[in-house]
Amino acid sequence: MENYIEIIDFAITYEEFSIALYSHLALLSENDWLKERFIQLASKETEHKDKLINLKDTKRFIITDDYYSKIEKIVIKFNIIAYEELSYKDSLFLAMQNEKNLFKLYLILSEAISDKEVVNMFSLLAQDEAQHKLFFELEYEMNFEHPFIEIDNSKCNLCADCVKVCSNIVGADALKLVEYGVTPSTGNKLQDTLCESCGLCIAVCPTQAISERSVIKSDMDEFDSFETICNYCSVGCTIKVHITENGEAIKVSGVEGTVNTDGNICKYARFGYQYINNSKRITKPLLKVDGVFEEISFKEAYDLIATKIKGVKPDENAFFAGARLTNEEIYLIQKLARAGAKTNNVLSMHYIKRGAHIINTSFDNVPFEEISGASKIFLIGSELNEEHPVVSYMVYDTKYKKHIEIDSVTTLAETSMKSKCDNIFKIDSYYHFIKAVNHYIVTNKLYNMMFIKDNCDNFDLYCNTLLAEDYTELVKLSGTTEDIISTFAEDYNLQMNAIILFTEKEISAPASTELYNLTMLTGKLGKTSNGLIALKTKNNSQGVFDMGAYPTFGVGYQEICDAEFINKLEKTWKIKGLPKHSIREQEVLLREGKIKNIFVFGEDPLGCSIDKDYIKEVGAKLDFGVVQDYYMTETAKQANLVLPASLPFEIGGHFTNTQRYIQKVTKTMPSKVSDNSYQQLYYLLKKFGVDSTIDPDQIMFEAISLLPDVAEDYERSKYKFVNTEDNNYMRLFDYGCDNLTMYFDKYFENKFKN
Amino acid sequence: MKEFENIDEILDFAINEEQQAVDFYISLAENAKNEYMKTTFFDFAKEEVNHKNRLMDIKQNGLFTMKPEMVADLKISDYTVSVHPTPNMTYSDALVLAMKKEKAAFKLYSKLAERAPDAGIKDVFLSLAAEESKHKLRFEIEYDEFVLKEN
Repeated sequence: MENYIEIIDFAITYEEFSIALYSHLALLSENDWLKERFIQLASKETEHKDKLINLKDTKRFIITDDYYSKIEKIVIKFNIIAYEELSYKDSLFLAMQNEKNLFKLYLILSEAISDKEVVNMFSLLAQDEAQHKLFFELEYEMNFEHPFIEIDNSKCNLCADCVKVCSNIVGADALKLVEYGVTPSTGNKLQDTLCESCGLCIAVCPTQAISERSVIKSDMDEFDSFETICNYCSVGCTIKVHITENGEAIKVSGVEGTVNTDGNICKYARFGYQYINNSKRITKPLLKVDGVFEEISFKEAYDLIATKIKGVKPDENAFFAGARLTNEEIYLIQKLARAGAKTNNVLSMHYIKRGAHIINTSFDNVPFEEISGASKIFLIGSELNEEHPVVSYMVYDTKYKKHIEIDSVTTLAETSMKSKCDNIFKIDSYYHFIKAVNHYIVTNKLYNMMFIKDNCDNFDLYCNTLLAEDYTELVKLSGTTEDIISTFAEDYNLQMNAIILFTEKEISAPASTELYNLTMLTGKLGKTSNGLIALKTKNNSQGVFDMGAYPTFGVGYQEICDAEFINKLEKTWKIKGLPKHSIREQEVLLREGKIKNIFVFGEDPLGCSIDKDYIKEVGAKLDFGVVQDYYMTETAKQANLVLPASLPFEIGGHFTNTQRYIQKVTKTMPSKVSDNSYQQLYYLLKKFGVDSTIDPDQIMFEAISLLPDVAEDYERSKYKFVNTEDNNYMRLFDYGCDNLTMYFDKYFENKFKN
Repeated sequence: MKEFENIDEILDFAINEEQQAVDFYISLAENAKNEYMKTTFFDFAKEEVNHKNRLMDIKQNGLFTMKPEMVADLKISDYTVSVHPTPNMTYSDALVLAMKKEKAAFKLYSKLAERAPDAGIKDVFLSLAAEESKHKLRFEIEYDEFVLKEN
């Protein structure tokens, strides 16, 4: 008899707690609809409480020990805590748990008692609690289950800006407006929709109803911030990093920049800032002794490197400059190779084996701002919304405003751009597809002769060589049909303003050359809102070439073996004896074990490799390896010596985006490394008696002074048709060979698993 | 996926889902881990039969009328669970699926209750929703206990 009273009293206490908790939720909520719902729920619980009090006064039952012990187990799980400080989200969560426990309690009571009337009452109570639980659960799941984005509808003022940006600019249509705020457009959570996790909804929300899932929710104006250029992809967005007093990054927002003129940024910039706070930064040179890394001084490191370089023949050294580095770093690395080690073995890992044509892909590109003038947009091997989302916004915005079509040509079975494209052509080979299109255009004489006559060279040779190839075979290798080739060719040719976007990662160098041929044939190259846009993988992929980190040419694409240029270099660098030959096939050198010492700056070939065994095999042929990086990457672990690298905003410099906009990064954060990247290269050059500077502006001036003089009567040379023989698609690395990009991609992916 | 065009299609969809639930719960009952759960699954199956009958009654007598724009607002994908029961499904997977299906049904009935033409119909759908929420929570508790026991 006693335990019965005890149990009912307990239930009453719990109903009272629920009433208080739901009133708290109603108070938290600034949204009338939700407020109303919480008040309703609280009054429902008041009814429950009254029923229980009434029952206690009128009837008595005996609960057998068996049921009592079951109830005891549930009772332990209840927790009455100070709810006043709880956030909306945590209150919902607590409410969910308590409703579930009350449900269990009433369910057991309904079984433990034999009085029919009372059993009914408990069943109804249980049913009510089940309903409440599900209400809280749905609200919670819909809005708090995304790993990066939280929706707190209690703050929503129903302005619908998030819904608009998601449907009109991102094109994901992941949000919809309901009576009390926003919810995923389909399913239970954002993950059930086409949400791209770009976070633009966070950026436009005026009330912070949509926010980044992070601990710090306060107003960002209270924190320091600095502007910089995003160091993920080659689009080059301007971003703002918000930092605490300790220099810890807590948020990144978009700024109206040269490229992202409306301040839009993507998931990489917005959620990919954790690397700045990573406590495992390398800050000292580390030398591997008997398989274990030991800290050594910078001076010892420089001495060792100089000894190693001098200990072998010049061409047994190879230098690799990562495409994430600043122009100034890349410039100094190629200077170290040429003036220091006296070799032209300098390149970026992620351009190894990509073919000679790869250097030209960004020439004569359509500026991003002209995308809005397109009459139709063609995506060739471009998963825009995953790899270059900000460009994807520009493309979709144009589609939305001007109702133009977007076609996608892809080798993927399922493209992530599916929902945004009007036609999708599934093919097997980009190279053969484009070549077949060119063949069709030439055979049917659809080319624009007026444009070709005035602007292009080598047309006849190109046509004759191309026509000698078997059209049927090309179509077959492209993996599509003659119908599709002709439809595509005719459609493309007839567009007034056709823009082709292609991703360097997916398109081989010969395929991109054929794309150039296509734009020339149809007279679409170099005109407003007409032509090509090449999208590179890394923030400074373009800078690698511009700064001359390439075996056959130096700064400004000048032939490295040209006597006049060598003379100029020797004068500027105040040295003698620069190498007079170069070896383009760096991969062959490595594969054949002709390289003894390797110096890798800011790249992670092992971690990012597509064929890890092959890279390991090549790595095993080396005698001595130096890796400079922020963190202990897979490659760094294999190195003999590891140097600490500086983040771009710790040293300042410039990035050149895929459209060859040179954008300045200002030094805003103190260096975590006593000798920063410029100083390291400066001291290394000094070891070889080469003078240099550590000021990025001075380095840039030196690079500019080496550029060729432009004659007054300079006339722009004509475009040139180039024949290609082979597809030659042999990309060795993913993620632009950058550990940072790889880390974020994996981190992002993992966040959605569980 | 084809969208709903009128209320009859929505009711048909719901009736079909209820029938599937009946079949599914009977098969779950046969594989239940104990007598207690076996009874629970059978009870639920019975309740779903009852739901189905109530829905068929509403449809046959044309008791539910709905404006086209209200129909258009109800997206079929919000109420469809993409996973289907399979014979060799594990017990915990089956419970998860049952929870999802009940949740989807709860959402549909709550929406239909909001859009009901009169108080009588509204009550029917509210009580349907309430029962589905009870099923959902019951499965969830079974799942919690099962997973805790197994792991």
